[in-house]
Amino acid sequence: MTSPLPPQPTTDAARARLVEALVATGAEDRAAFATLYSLTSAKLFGVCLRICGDRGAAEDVLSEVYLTIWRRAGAFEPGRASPISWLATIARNRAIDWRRSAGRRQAVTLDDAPEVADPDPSVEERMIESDDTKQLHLCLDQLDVKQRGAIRSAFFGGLTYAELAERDRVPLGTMKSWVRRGLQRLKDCLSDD
Amino acid sequence: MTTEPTPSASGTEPDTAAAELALGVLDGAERGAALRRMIAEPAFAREVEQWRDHFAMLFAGVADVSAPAGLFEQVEARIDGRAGPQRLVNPWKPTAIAASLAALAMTAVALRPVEAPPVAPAPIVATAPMIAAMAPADKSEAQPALYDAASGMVKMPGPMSIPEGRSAQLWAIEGDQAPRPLGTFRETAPGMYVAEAKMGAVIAPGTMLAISIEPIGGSPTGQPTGPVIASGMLSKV
Repeated sequence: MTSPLPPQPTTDAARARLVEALVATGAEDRAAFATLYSLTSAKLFGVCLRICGDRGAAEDVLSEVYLTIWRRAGAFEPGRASPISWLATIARNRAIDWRRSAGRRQAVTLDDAPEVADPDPSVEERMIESDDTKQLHLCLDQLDVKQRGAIRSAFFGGLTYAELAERDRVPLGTMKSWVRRGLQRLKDCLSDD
Repeated sequence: MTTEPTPSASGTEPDTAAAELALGVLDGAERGAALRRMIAEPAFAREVEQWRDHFAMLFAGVADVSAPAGLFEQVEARIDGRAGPQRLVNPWKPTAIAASLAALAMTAVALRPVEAPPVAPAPIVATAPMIAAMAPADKSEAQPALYDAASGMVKMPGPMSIPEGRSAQLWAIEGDQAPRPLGTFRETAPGMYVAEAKMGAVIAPGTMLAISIEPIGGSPTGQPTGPVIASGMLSKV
Protein backbone atom coordinates (compact mmCIF):
# COMPACT_ATOMS: atom_id res chain seq x y z
CA MET A 1 0.00 0.00 0.00
CA THR A 2 2.49 2.58 -1.03
CA SER A 3 0.95 4.33 -4.00
CA PRO A 4 2.13 7.87 -3.39
CA LEU A 5 0.23 11.08 -3.63
CA PRO A 6 0.41 12.62 -7.07
CA PRO A 7 3.13 15.26 -7.15
CA GLN A 8 2.06 18.58 -5.61
CA PRO A 9 -1.70 18.21 -5.75
CA THR A 10 -3.55 21.39 -5.13
CA THR A 11 -5.36 21.51 -1.83
CA ASP A 12 -8.77 21.47 -3.49
CA ALA A 13 -7.99 18.55 -5.77
CA ALA A 14 -6.52 16.54 -2.89
CA ARG A 15 -9.56 17.26 -0.80
CA ALA A 16 -11.96 16.29 -3.57
CA ARG A 17 -10.10 13.04 -4.07
CA LEU A 18 -10.23 12.31 -0.38
CA VAL A 19 -13.96 13.05 -0.14
CA GLU A 20 -14.59 10.78 -3.09
CA ALA A 21 -12.61 7.92 -1.55
CA LEU A 22 -14.25 8.39 1.83
CA VAL A 23 -17.79 8.49 0.45
CA ALA A 24 -17.16 5.38 -1.66
CA THR A 25 -15.67 3.65 1.39
CA GLY A 26 -18.96 4.41 3.12
CA ALA A 27 -20.61 2.34 0.38
CA GLU A 28 -18.24 -0.52 1.26
CA ASP A 29 -16.04 -0.08 -1.80
CA ARG A 30 -12.81 -1.91 -0.97
CA ALA A 31 -10.77 -0.33 -3.76
CA ALA A 32 -11.78 3.13 -2.53
CA PHE A 33 -10.82 2.10 0.99
CA ALA A 34 -7.38 1.09 -0.28
CA THR A 35 -7.05 4.48 -1.98
CA LEU A 36 -8.17 6.22 1.19
CA TYR A 37 -5.55 4.30 3.12
CA SER A 38 -2.76 5.24 0.72
CA LEU A 39 -3.81 8.89 0.83
CA THR A 40 -4.10 9.18 4.59
CA SER A 41 -2.16 6.47 6.43
CA ALA A 42 1.07 8.48 6.76
CA LYS A 43 -0.81 11.44 8.24
CA LEU A 44 -2.90 9.29 10.57
CA PHE A 45 0.11 7.21 11.63
CA GLY A 46 1.90 10.48 12.40
CA VAL A 47 -1.05 11.51 14.58
CA CYS A 48 -1.15 8.13 16.39
CA LEU A 49 2.60 8.19 16.95
CA ARG A 50 2.48 11.77 18.15
CA ILE A 51 -0.18 10.98 20.74
CA CYS A 52 0.84 7.44 21.78
CA GLY A 53 4.57 8.15 21.83
CA ASP A 54 5.19 4.43 21.26
CA ARG A 55 5.54 2.81 17.87
CA GLY A 56 4.04 -0.57 18.72
CA ALA A 57 1.02 1.03 20.31
CA ALA A 58 0.65 3.47 17.43
CA GLU A 59 0.56 0.54 14.98
CA ASP A 60 -2.17 -1.22 16.95
CA VAL A 61 -4.12 2.00 17.25
CA LEU A 62 -3.77 2.71 13.53
CA SER A 63 -5.26 -0.68 12.74
CA GLU A 64 -8.23 0.12 15.03
CA VAL A 65 -8.52 3.53 13.39
CA TYR A 66 -8.93 2.10 9.90
CA LEU A 67 -11.35 -0.53 11.13
CA THR A 68 -13.40 2.29 12.65
CA ILE A 69 -13.15 4.32 9.44
CA TRP A 70 -14.36 1.35 7.41
CA ARG A 71 -17.35 0.88 9.64
CA ARG A 72 -18.23 4.50 10.09
CA ALA A 73 -17.42 6.05 6.70
CA GLY A 74 -21.10 5.91 5.78
CA ALA A 75 -21.79 8.50 8.48
CA PHE A 76 -19.38 11.04 6.98
CA GLU A 77 -21.25 14.07 5.67
CA PRO A 78 -19.19 15.73 2.92
CA GLY A 79 -20.89 19.11 3.27
CA ARG A 80 -20.45 19.29 6.98
CA ALA A 81 -16.97 18.25 7.91
CA SER A 82 -13.54 18.41 6.35
CA PRO A 83 -12.51 14.84 5.42
CA ILE A 84 -9.03 15.02 6.90
CA SER A 85 -10.38 16.57 10.13
CA TRP A 86 -12.93 13.82 10.35
CA LEU A 87 -10.33 11.10 9.82
CA ALA A 88 -7.69 12.65 12.02
CA THR A 89 -10.23 13.12 14.80
CA ILE A 90 -10.95 9.39 14.76
CA ALA A 91 -7.20 8.75 14.98
CA ARG A 92 -6.82 11.24 17.80
CA ASN A 93 -9.74 9.79 19.77
CA ARG A 94 -8.50 6.21 19.43
CA ALA A 95 -4.95 7.20 20.35
CA ILE A 96 -6.16 9.10 23.39
CA ASP A 97 -8.28 6.08 24.41
CA TRP A 98 -5.08 4.04 24.28
CA ARG A 99 -3.19 6.56 26.38
CA ARG A 100 -5.95 6.55 28.94
CA SER A 101 -6.09 2.77 29.17
CA ALA A 102 -2.28 2.59 29.31
CA GLY A 103 -2.34 4.57 32.52
CA ARG A 104 -3.21 8.13 33.14
CA ARG A 105 -0.56 8.51 35.77
CA GLN A 106 2.17 7.98 33.25
CA ALA A 107 0.59 10.40 30.87
CA VAL A 108 0.53 13.33 33.22
CA THR A 109 3.97 13.29 34.81
CA LEU A 110 6.29 16.14 33.96
CA ASP A 111 8.89 13.78 32.54
CA ASP A 112 6.46 12.34 30.08
CA ALA A 113 4.94 15.40 28.58
CA PRO A 114 5.93 15.39 24.93
CA GLU A 115 3.71 18.36 24.22
CA VAL A 116 6.11 20.59 26.14
CA ALA A 117 8.56 20.15 23.29
CA ASP A 118 5.92 20.19 20.63
CA PRO A 119 7.40 22.24 17.83
CA ASP A 120 5.40 24.85 16.04
CA PRO A 121 4.95 24.03 12.37
CA SER A 122 7.97 24.79 10.23
CA VAL A 123 8.03 27.62 7.76
CA GLU A 124 7.86 25.09 4.95
CA GLU A 125 4.78 23.46 6.45
CA ARG A 126 3.16 26.82 6.84
CA MET A 127 3.68 27.61 3.20
CA ILE A 128 1.50 24.70 2.14
CA GLU A 129 -1.09 25.36 4.81
CA SER A 130 -4.58 26.27 3.78
CA ASP A 131 -5.83 29.72 4.71
CA ASP A 132 -7.88 28.25 7.54
CA THR A 133 -4.83 26.60 9.02
CA LYS A 134 -2.83 29.79 8.77
CA GLN A 135 -5.62 31.62 10.50
CA LEU A 136 -5.63 29.18 13.42
CA HIS A 137 -1.87 29.41 13.84
CA LEU A 138 -1.93 33.20 13.62
CA CYS A 139 -4.60 33.29 16.28
CA LEU A 140 -2.78 30.79 18.50
CA ASP A 141 0.33 32.94 18.17
CA GLN A 142 -1.57 35.78 19.79
CA LEU A 143 -2.17 33.81 22.97
CA ASP A 144 0.37 33.79 25.72
CA VAL A 145 2.75 30.86 25.96
CA LYS A 146 0.94 29.19 28.84
CA GLN A 147 -2.44 29.36 27.16
CA ARG A 148 -1.08 28.09 23.89
CA GLY A 149 0.87 25.32 25.63
CA ALA A 150 -2.19 24.17 27.58
CA ILE A 151 -4.36 24.10 24.46
CA ARG A 152 -1.79 22.12 22.49
CA SER A 153 -1.27 19.69 25.39
CA ALA A 154 -4.98 19.17 25.72
CA PHE A 155 -5.29 18.54 22.02
CA PHE A 156 -2.35 16.21 21.52
CA GLY A 157 -2.21 14.64 24.95
CA GLY A 158 -5.90 14.29 25.60
CA LEU A 159 -5.32 16.01 28.94
CA THR A 160 -8.31 17.28 30.86
CA TYR A 161 -8.36 20.42 33.00
CA ALA A 162 -7.60 18.36 36.08
CA GLU A 163 -4.60 16.72 34.42
CA LEU A 164 -3.28 19.96 32.97
CA ALA A 165 -3.49 21.54 36.41
CA GLU A 166 -1.69 18.61 37.99
CA ARG A 167 1.01 18.63 35.35
CA ASP A 168 1.68 22.33 35.64
CA ARG A 169 1.14 22.31 39.43
CA VAL A 170 -1.41 25.06 39.45
CA PRO A 171 -4.85 25.09 41.07
CA LEU A 172 -7.63 23.66 38.91
CA GLY A 173 -9.49 26.98 38.88
CA THR A 174 -6.40 28.80 37.64
CA MET A 175 -5.93 26.34 34.79
CA LYS A 176 -9.58 26.60 33.82
CA SER A 177 -9.53 30.37 33.67
CA TRP A 178 -6.25 30.41 31.68
CA VAL A 179 -7.63 28.05 29.11
CA ARG A 180 -11.09 29.66 29.02
CA ARG A 181 -9.58 33.09 28.45
CA GLY A 182 -7.37 31.60 25.76
CA LEU A 183 -10.32 29.93 24.05
CA GLN A 184 -12.34 33.13 24.21
CA ARG A 185 -9.49 35.08 22.59
CA LEU A 186 -9.12 32.38 20.00
CA LYS A 187 -12.83 32.55 19.27
CA ASP A 188 -12.73 36.34 18.85
CA CYS A 189 -9.67 36.09 16.62
CA LEU A 190 -11.08 33.31 14.45
CA SER A 191 -14.39 35.09 13.90
CA ASP A 192 -12.55 38.32 13.12
CA ASP A 193 -12.06 37.90 9.38
CA MET B 1 -41.04 16.84 29.82
CA THR B 2 -38.61 19.27 28.28
CA THR B 3 -34.92 19.81 28.66
CA GLU B 4 -33.86 23.35 29.35
CA PRO B 5 -30.64 24.43 27.70
CA THR B 6 -27.95 24.24 30.32
CA PRO B 7 -26.60 27.68 31.13
CA SER B 8 -22.85 28.15 31.11
CA ALA B 9 -21.00 27.59 34.34
CA SER B 10 -21.51 31.16 35.35
CA GLY B 11 -23.86 33.72 33.94
CA THR B 12 -21.14 36.34 33.54
CA GLU B 13 -18.30 34.35 32.00
CA PRO B 14 -18.42 33.82 28.25
CA ASP B 15 -19.65 30.39 27.26
CA THR B 16 -16.64 28.42 26.06
CA ALA B 17 -18.18 24.97 26.61
CA ALA B 18 -18.31 24.13 22.89
CA ALA B 19 -14.59 24.80 22.49
CA GLU B 20 -13.83 22.96 25.73
CA LEU B 21 -15.79 19.91 24.61
CA ALA B 22 -14.10 19.88 21.21
CA LEU B 23 -10.70 20.26 22.83
CA GLY B 24 -11.43 17.46 25.31
CA VAL B 25 -10.54 19.26 28.53
CA LEU B 26 -13.84 18.61 30.28
CA ASP B 27 -14.47 15.60 32.43
CA GLY B 28 -17.08 14.25 34.81
CA ALA B 29 -20.25 16.27 35.25
CA GLU B 30 -19.05 19.17 33.09
CA ARG B 31 -18.44 16.84 30.17
CA GLY B 32 -21.78 15.14 30.69
CA ALA B 33 -23.54 18.52 30.71
CA ALA B 34 -21.78 19.61 27.52
CA LEU B 35 -22.63 16.32 25.79
CA ARG B 36 -26.27 16.75 26.72
CA ARG B 37 -26.19 20.24 25.18
CA MET B 38 -24.86 18.62 21.98
CA ILE B 39 -28.17 16.85 21.72
CA ALA B 40 -30.49 19.48 23.13
CA GLU B 41 -29.09 22.52 21.29
CA PRO B 42 -28.41 22.23 17.55
CA ALA B 43 -26.55 25.56 17.54
CA PHE B 44 -24.25 24.28 20.26
CA ALA B 45 -23.63 21.07 18.30
CA ARG B 46 -22.72 23.14 15.23
CA GLU B 47 -20.36 25.26 17.30
CA VAL B 48 -18.64 22.14 18.65
CA GLU B 49 -18.22 20.93 15.09
CA GLN B 50 -16.71 24.26 14.04
CA TRP B 51 -14.25 24.10 16.91
CA ARG B 52 -13.39 20.54 16.01
CA ASP B 53 -12.50 21.75 12.53
CA HIS B 54 -10.48 24.64 13.95
CA PHE B 55 -8.49 22.38 16.26
CA ALA B 56 -8.04 19.84 13.48
CA MET B 57 -5.82 22.45 11.83
CA LEU B 58 -3.26 21.51 14.47
CA PHE B 59 -2.93 18.15 12.70
CA ALA B 60 -1.31 20.03 9.83
CA GLY B 61 1.71 20.49 12.07
CA VAL B 62 2.12 16.76 12.71
CA ALA B 63 4.76 15.13 10.57
CA ASP B 64 3.67 12.31 8.26
CA VAL B 65 5.21 8.93 9.07
CA SER B 66 4.95 5.97 6.68
CA ALA B 67 2.67 3.34 8.15
CA PRO B 68 4.24 -0.10 8.64
CA ALA B 69 4.08 -2.49 5.71
CA GLY B 70 1.30 -5.03 5.93
CA LEU B 71 -0.92 -2.99 8.17
CA PHE B 72 -3.57 -2.46 5.53
CA GLU B 73 -3.71 -6.21 4.86
CA GLN B 74 -4.16 -6.75 8.59
CA VAL B 75 -7.08 -4.29 8.62
CA GLU B 76 -8.65 -6.04 5.63
CA ALA B 77 -8.27 -9.40 7.33
CA ARG B 78 -10.06 -8.04 10.38
CA ILE B 79 -12.86 -6.65 8.22
CA ASP B 80 -13.28 -10.10 6.70
CA GLY B 81 -13.18 -11.70 10.11
CA ARG B 82 -10.04 -13.60 9.18
CA ALA B 83 -7.90 -12.12 11.89
CA GLY B 84 -6.05 -14.44 14.18
CA PRO B 85 -5.64 -13.56 17.84
CA GLN B 86 -5.30 -9.82 17.80
CA ARG B 87 -3.19 -7.95 20.25
CA LEU B 88 -5.65 -5.87 22.19
CA VAL B 89 -5.26 -2.16 21.83
CA ASN B 90 -7.39 -1.47 24.79
CA PRO B 91 -7.00 -4.20 27.39
CA TRP B 92 -9.64 -3.42 29.93
CA LYS B 93 -8.46 -4.73 33.22
CA PRO B 94 -10.75 -6.99 35.25
CA THR B 95 -10.46 -4.54 38.13
CA ALA B 96 -11.74 -1.75 35.92
CA ILE B 97 -14.64 -3.93 34.85
CA ALA B 98 -15.44 -4.73 38.46
CA ALA B 99 -15.22 -1.05 39.31
CA SER B 100 -17.54 -0.03 36.50
CA LEU B 101 -19.99 -2.76 37.46
CA ALA B 102 -19.89 -1.54 41.03
CA ALA B 103 -20.54 1.99 39.82
CA LEU B 104 -23.45 0.76 37.77
CA ALA B 105 -24.83 -1.16 40.70
CA MET B 106 -24.80 2.07 42.67
CA THR B 107 -26.58 4.12 40.04
CA ALA B 108 -28.97 1.44 38.94
CA VAL B 109 -29.75 -0.11 42.28
CA ALA B 110 -33.51 0.24 42.25
CA LEU B 111 -34.06 -1.32 38.88
CA ARG B 112 -35.88 -4.38 37.88
CA PRO B 113 -33.41 -6.93 36.57
CA VAL B 114 -32.12 -6.63 33.06
CA GLU B 115 -31.38 -9.83 31.31
CA ALA B 116 -27.88 -11.01 32.07
CA PRO B 117 -25.27 -10.20 29.45
CA PRO B 118 -23.24 -13.05 27.97
CA VAL B 119 -20.54 -14.13 30.39
CA ALA B 120 -17.29 -14.18 28.45
CA PRO B 121 -16.29 -10.85 26.97
CA ALA B 122 -15.40 -11.21 23.31
CA PRO B 123 -11.79 -10.41 22.45
CA ILE B 124 -12.55 -7.52 20.14
CA VAL B 125 -13.94 -4.36 21.61
CA ALA B 126 -16.63 -4.00 18.98
CA THR B 127 -18.39 -7.26 19.78
CA ALA B 128 -18.38 -7.11 23.58
CA PRO B 129 -21.68 -6.39 25.30
CA MET B 130 -21.87 -3.00 26.94
CA ILE B 131 -24.08 -1.28 29.44
CA ALA B 132 -24.94 2.34 30.16
CA ALA B 133 -26.65 3.85 33.18
CA MET B 134 -29.20 6.09 31.49
CA ALA B 135 -29.86 9.12 33.68
CA PRO B 136 -33.31 10.58 32.95
CA ALA B 137 -33.46 14.32 32.32
CA ASP B 138 -35.99 14.65 35.13
CA LYS B 139 -33.30 13.44 37.54
CA SER B 140 -35.22 10.33 38.57
CA GLU B 141 -33.39 7.01 38.99
CA ALA B 142 -30.99 5.92 36.26
CA GLN B 143 -31.97 2.90 34.20
CA PRO B 144 -29.55 0.49 32.55
CA ALA B 145 -29.40 0.17 28.79
CA LEU B 146 -27.77 -2.96 27.45
CA TYR B 147 -26.07 -2.90 24.06
CA ASP B 148 -25.53 -6.26 22.43
CA ALA B 149 -23.13 -5.75 19.55
CA ALA B 150 -23.85 -9.19 18.12
CA SER B 151 -27.51 -8.39 17.48
CA GLY B 152 -26.99 -4.62 17.22
CA MET B 153 -29.81 -4.09 19.71
CA VAL B 154 -30.05 -1.76 22.68
CA LYS B 155 -32.46 -2.95 25.37
CA MET B 156 -33.87 -0.93 28.22
CA PRO B 157 -36.45 -1.73 30.88
CA GLY B 158 -39.34 0.72 31.07
CA PRO B 159 -41.35 2.59 31.86
CA MET B 160 -40.50 5.08 29.14
CA SER B 161 -42.75 8.10 28.85
CA ILE B 162 -43.30 8.53 25.13
CA PRO B 163 -46.05 11.01 24.22
CA GLU B 164 -48.88 9.77 22.03
CA GLY B 165 -47.97 9.96 18.35
CA ARG B 166 -44.22 10.32 18.94
CA SER B 167 -41.20 8.01 18.92
CA ALA B 168 -38.30 7.73 21.35
CA GLN B 169 -35.12 7.71 19.28
CA LEU B 170 -31.70 6.49 20.33
CA TRP B 171 -28.54 8.51 19.54
CA ALA B 172 -24.84 7.77 19.84
CA ILE B 173 -22.28 10.49 20.48
CA GLU B 174 -18.63 9.58 20.20
CA GLY B 175 -16.08 12.02 21.49
CA ASP B 176 -16.97 15.39 20.11
CA GLN B 177 -18.75 14.10 17.02
CA ALA B 178 -22.27 15.15 16.15
CA PRO B 179 -24.98 12.80 17.47
CA ARG B 180 -25.42 9.77 15.22
CA PRO B 181 -29.02 8.59 14.79
CA LEU B 182 -29.79 5.01 15.77
CA GLY B 183 -33.19 3.33 15.80
CA THR B 184 -36.40 4.19 17.59
CA PHE B 185 -37.57 2.22 20.61
CA ARG B 186 -40.42 -0.21 20.50
CA GLU B 187 -41.93 -2.11 23.41
CA THR B 188 -41.17 -5.76 22.71
CA ALA B 189 -42.56 -7.07 25.98
CA PRO B 190 -44.37 -5.26 28.79
CA GLY B 191 -41.83 -2.85 30.26
CA MET B 192 -39.02 -3.83 27.87
CA TYR B 193 -37.96 -1.44 25.14
CA VAL B 194 -35.65 -2.28 22.27
CA ALA B 195 -34.00 -0.07 19.67
CA GLU B 196 -31.87 -1.14 16.77
CA ALA B 197 -28.44 0.32 16.10
CA LYS B 198 -28.19 0.64 12.33
CA MET B 199 -26.40 -1.97 10.27
CA GLY B 200 -22.68 -1.53 10.18
CA ALA B 201 -22.70 0.95 13.04
CA VAL B 202 -20.05 0.34 15.64
CA ILE B 203 -20.56 1.50 19.15
CA ALA B 204 -17.42 1.70 21.27
CA PRO B 205 -17.06 1.95 25.05
CA GLY B 206 -17.17 5.58 26.13
CA THR B 207 -19.91 6.40 23.64
CA MET B 208 -22.69 8.53 25.07
CA LEU B 209 -26.16 7.15 24.40
CA ALA B 210 -29.10 9.53 24.49
CA ILE B 211 -32.82 9.23 23.88
CA SER B 212 -34.88 12.05 22.44
CA ILE B 213 -38.56 12.41 21.63
CA GLU B 214 -39.07 12.68 17.88
CA PRO B 215 -41.80 12.42 15.27
CA ILE B 216 -42.98 8.86 14.59
CA GLY B 217 -40.20 6.85 12.99
CA GLY B 218 -37.41 9.16 14.13
CA SER B 219 -35.98 12.61 13.46
CA PRO B 220 -36.51 13.73 9.86
CA THR B 221 -33.33 15.85 9.91
CA GLY B 222 -30.78 13.30 11.07
CA GLN B 223 -30.19 15.41 14.16
CA PRO B 224 -32.23 15.44 17.35
CA THR B 225 -35.21 17.80 17.20
CA GLY B 226 -37.08 17.03 20.40
CA PRO B 227 -36.36 16.99 24.13
CA VAL B 228 -33.80 14.56 25.50
CA ILE B 229 -35.34 12.25 28.07
CA ALA B 230 -32.27 10.28 29.17
CA SER B 231 -28.56 9.88 28.52
CA GLY B 232 -25.67 7.77 29.75
CA MET B 233 -22.16 6.59 28.89
CA LEU B 234 -21.56 3.05 27.62
CA SER B 235 -18.93 0.92 29.29
CA LYS B 236 -17.94 -2.68 28.87
CA VAL B 237 -19.56 -5.28 31.06
